[in-house]
Amino acid sequence: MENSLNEKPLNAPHNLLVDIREKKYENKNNSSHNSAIKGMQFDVPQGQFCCLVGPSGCGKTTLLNLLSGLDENLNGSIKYQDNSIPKDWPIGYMFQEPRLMPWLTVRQNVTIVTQQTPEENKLSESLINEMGLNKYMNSFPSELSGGMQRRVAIARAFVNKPKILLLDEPFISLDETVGNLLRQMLLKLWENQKTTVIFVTHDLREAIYMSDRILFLSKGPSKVIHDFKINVSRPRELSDKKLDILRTELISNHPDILSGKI
Amino acid sequence: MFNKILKNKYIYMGHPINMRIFSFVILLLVWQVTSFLIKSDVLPSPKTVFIIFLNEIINGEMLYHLGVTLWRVILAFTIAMLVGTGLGIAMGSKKNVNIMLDGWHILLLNTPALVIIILCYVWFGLNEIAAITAVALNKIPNVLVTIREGTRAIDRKILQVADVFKVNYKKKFISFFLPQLYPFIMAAARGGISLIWKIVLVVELLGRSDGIGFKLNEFFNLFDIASIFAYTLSFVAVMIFVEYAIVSPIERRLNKWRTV
Repeated sequence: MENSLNEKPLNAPHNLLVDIREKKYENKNNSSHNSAIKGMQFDVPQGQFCCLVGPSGCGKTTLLNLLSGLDENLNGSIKYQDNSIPKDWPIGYMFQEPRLMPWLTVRQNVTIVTQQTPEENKLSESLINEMGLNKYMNSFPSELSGGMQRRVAIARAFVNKPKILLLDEPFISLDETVGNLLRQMLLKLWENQKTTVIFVTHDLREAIYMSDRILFLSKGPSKVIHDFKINVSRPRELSDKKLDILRTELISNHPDILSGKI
Repeated sequence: MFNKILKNKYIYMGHPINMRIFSFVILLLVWQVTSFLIKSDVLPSPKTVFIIFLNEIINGEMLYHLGVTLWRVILAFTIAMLVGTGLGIAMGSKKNVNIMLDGWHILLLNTPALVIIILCYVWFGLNEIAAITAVALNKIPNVLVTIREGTRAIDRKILQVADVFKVNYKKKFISFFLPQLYPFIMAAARGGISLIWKIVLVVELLGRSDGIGFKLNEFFNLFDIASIFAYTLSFVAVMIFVEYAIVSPIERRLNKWRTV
């Protein structure tokens, strides 16, 4: 595992460098401090689709808050190679729930997070079109199905041309057909934009289908326990036997990996 | 008999506007019949009241006092809404501010309107500023309660969207925070207008020499009940106009997304 962490492509301009020595959170009940993350180190090359997989309570949300710059209180550093920190980056974010504003139309929900310049408005519309929602431009979220609402959330996540796109189990609670359609849509946009993606999931099949690489996390205090590369060419088919074989191999080599043990 | 009228196909009663008109006509009828039976100045007939109403409109007297009162209502309403909303947001979002101000708030909420009015006149003199301040102070605690509840009910997850997309503070407030508060602001405004105009009358009665409240006091001293009716109904008509022409359309617009 140590070796794989040292395989940094040299001189790549926008590699994400994560080095969290410790991230504590306050326990509200007895005002003690527990560490959520301890000794977590990984680098993500620009444009990589990286999945984070770990047991529940492994500090995934804490990690995403740190990566997005919502939370800046940590012992360690998260930065790009040019020393910029999360606060300086345009970040795309997709939450578990669509989190659209019910009082805004589809178009407004996407443009609201931009400066609403003519170019950005144009980009918003073309993203909504790419999501197949051109007919629903002026509809309110309450008129859309859960899957369609998530498509709006995908368009919104890309509209600010994010340097890094963070996704927190975005396709949870969708049925398989809708979920797969959205996965393909997300991959298509990602391939066009080549943004760096950090995708949190606990669905190993989803992770293998989508990502270039999976980082497995341990239970809290969380750290990276396994760095798994997926060298399957794209576009991939969900039914591709290679993906199933990878998964079976991984599970048989590390039977407890999904519960955070190696 | 009512059933027969209700079922008459020429008067289609199912329409809400027809039902409203019908209920208004019943009110007038009850009024007319009662005043006919009583035959006293204490309850003048609708006809008498209407004639006085027309006279007062024509000689300009009523419109002047109506205007003065309406102006006071607008000023006091605006001040109460702005201050109440500001304090409500501050107290709803910051625990310490709430702890600091809650005692004052409860004190003001439970001080009778009359006491606030008297104190304002005593402290600031019998002038316009005292009158408006007294009315606003009476309404601010009510606005505050509603807005504070609204602020506590704000969906933080929506605000987090603004944070991750690095929306600046002003836009976060206007586009992500305030829209969640609109229903509460509307509720406070609706309750506010009716309460405020009632208090404005008391303020005028106690310390102003114009406005509907002043006139009502005058008519009371002259035992001119018909004029009291005419002035009261004229202002009620203004408030109904405000409700249907201003408040309801705004509310419909803000709630458009709910109805689809």
